[in-house]
Amino acid sequence: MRPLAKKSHRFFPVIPILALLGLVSLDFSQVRKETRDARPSRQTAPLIKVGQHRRPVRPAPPTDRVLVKFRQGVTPQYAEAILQAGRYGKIREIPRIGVFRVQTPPNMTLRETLLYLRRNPDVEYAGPDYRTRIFAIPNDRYFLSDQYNLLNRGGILDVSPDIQPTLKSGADIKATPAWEETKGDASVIIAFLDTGVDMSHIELVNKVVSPGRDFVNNDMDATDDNSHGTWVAGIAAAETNNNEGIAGVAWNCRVLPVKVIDAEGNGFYDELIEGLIWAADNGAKVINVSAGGDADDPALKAACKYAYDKNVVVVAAAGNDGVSVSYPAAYDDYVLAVAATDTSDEHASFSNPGPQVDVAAPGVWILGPVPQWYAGPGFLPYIFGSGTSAAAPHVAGLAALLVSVKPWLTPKQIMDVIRYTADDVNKAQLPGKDNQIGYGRINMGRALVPYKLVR
Amino acid sequence: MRKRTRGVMSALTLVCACGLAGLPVLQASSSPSKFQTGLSYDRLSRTVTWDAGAHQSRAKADIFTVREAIQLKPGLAVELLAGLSLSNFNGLVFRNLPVSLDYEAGGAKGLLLGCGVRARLLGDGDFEIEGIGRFVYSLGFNGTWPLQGFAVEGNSRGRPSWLVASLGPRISYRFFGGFVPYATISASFFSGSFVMDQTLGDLTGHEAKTLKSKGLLEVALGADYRVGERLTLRAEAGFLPYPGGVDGSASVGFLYRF
Repeated sequence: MRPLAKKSHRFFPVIPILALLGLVSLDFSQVRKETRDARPSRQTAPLIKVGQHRRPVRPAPPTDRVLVKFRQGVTPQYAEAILQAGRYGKIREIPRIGVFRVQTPPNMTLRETLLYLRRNPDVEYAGPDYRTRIFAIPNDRYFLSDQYNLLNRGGILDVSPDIQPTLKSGADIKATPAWEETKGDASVIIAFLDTGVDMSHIELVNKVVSPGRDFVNNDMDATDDNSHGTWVAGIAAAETNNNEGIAGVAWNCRVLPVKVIDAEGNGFYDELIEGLIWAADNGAKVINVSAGGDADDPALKAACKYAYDKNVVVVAAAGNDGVSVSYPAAYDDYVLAVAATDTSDEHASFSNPGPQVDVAAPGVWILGPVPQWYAGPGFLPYIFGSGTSAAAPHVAGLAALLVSVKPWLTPKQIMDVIRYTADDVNKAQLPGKDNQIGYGRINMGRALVPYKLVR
Repeated sequence: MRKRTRGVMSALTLVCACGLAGLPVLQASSSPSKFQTGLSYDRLSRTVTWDAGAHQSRAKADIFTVREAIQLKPGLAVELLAGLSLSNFNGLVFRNLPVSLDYEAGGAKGLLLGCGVRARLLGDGDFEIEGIGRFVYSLGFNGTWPLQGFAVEGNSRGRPSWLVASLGPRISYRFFGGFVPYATISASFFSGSFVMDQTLGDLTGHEAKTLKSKGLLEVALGADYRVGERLTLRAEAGFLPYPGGVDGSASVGFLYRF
């Protein structure tokens, strides 16, 4: 897989793009690839353009929505009547778990709305419909790279003349031996709850099973209008061995796009909740959530449990604030929380620590596909980015490969296999499971290649 | 495990001791030609398929047996076997466990029991044709192997078992007196199983693999060499052709006639 990236690197010099980091949005530092190097005549003299790409990111306003769950015995009709009587706007039901999402009335604050609802004896739970955001860290460095995350042979990552981090040989997820065991099964679908997916991208056009579901715009077309979702999906499941672009972790597994984050990189819990449930109901065996929020919420937890109970492995990014594990990653029983490591198997400083962290995967300068409109004219549709957003799809890809070869395993067993086979790469400082990288950086080889039982 | 092996060895020693202790009694009370006791070493090698024929590997076994043959009437004898087996099923891959295992741990000890029958069908001049049937079962002892290099502690526990059943005619040539060469053509059925249990942290798994021999027809060439009145030495080599190859077996031993 490495030669693909190398080829691009040689023929298509990349351009580092700086992104502005919004208060609540994820941005990823990025490198666009010069498309004109695809022409043979340009190969000997590739043009290198270096510039700054800004993606406008607006901080999301505080939420004005509420999630309400009524007590058992309250019929949906009666519950809706209560909500309509209270003049709550935009009522939407999430029927599988009996939760309603409502807008606060125009003359009431969120706090007043919650107090009012909680006084009602028929209401079991009322809480804010928290906002979600995709994960990344700001970065304005220039760089060149390839897929060290899959196969790291050491050397230098040529980011820019003054930024040249060392690649530690072997600091990868051991993808190549695992691919000898399986390249995944096309019947195994990974749902990406994100900003959508560019379904025309050469890395994904043959991998997407359907146009998916867009819970932001409420339609059946989860086309990516941000780029984050395409990048994340490509890391896990880019078309591989096709002489183009990059390799995905799960060569043959397919992609179900579910849009729960808007073009600005923001979303609401209700969209995430509905996305989890919809994906579980529509054939996903693995769900990747490279997004999340700061607040615990019983409805979000219930949605994770719903997917888990439907035999779906849910993988989520731990978050990039460096503070505590975000939700839904923090739902330890139902979700595999993924932290990020860097080019040397060190814990990435931005990666959220916490006891809920299960494993880690490379999340620094990871190459993935983006829509052509995002890369801009004259550039290849790929960028390098960082964040636990990039780490999570490595794990989702591994989960999909495990489901491919061992479909009888339960989500708990899949999660345990991924946990127990991880490399404890920081055992010198923190032996055993720790809050930074959990059980360790995933090891696809150990998870998939038969363990040699010797005397 | 070691304790169990010691127990089996003790039992076998007891069987041998009883056999030897009973010698005078047998000699006194029975016709001298009715009982034979022997020891033998057999080497078995079979190409086996598993996972419904999707994969193949080789099953090997070293077998040490004590035999007791009883002649029920002229031309009809039964044989009882007991002993130890060392079965090597290297190359088996257990992919139905949470963490797949590639078995390369070599020989696993087991207890071997068997029986056989030998009936003269035709005996005319220098040639004799007998019908030979044999059933041998090896019950493996549990072996435990630690799983190392994982984030949590674990081990795998496995037990191989197998059986061989064969039936076919044997043609012996008695022209040379004490040296009797023979050839046996037999339908030989081998079936094995390897049960593996895995414990790794919270993970547990169980997989039972069934093995079938690729070859079904065995041709064996051997000879009995009588040394004196009571002792007979025996050597035999067998071949099991199968599509794409041939398996082999070998056996050496002796029989003592009381």
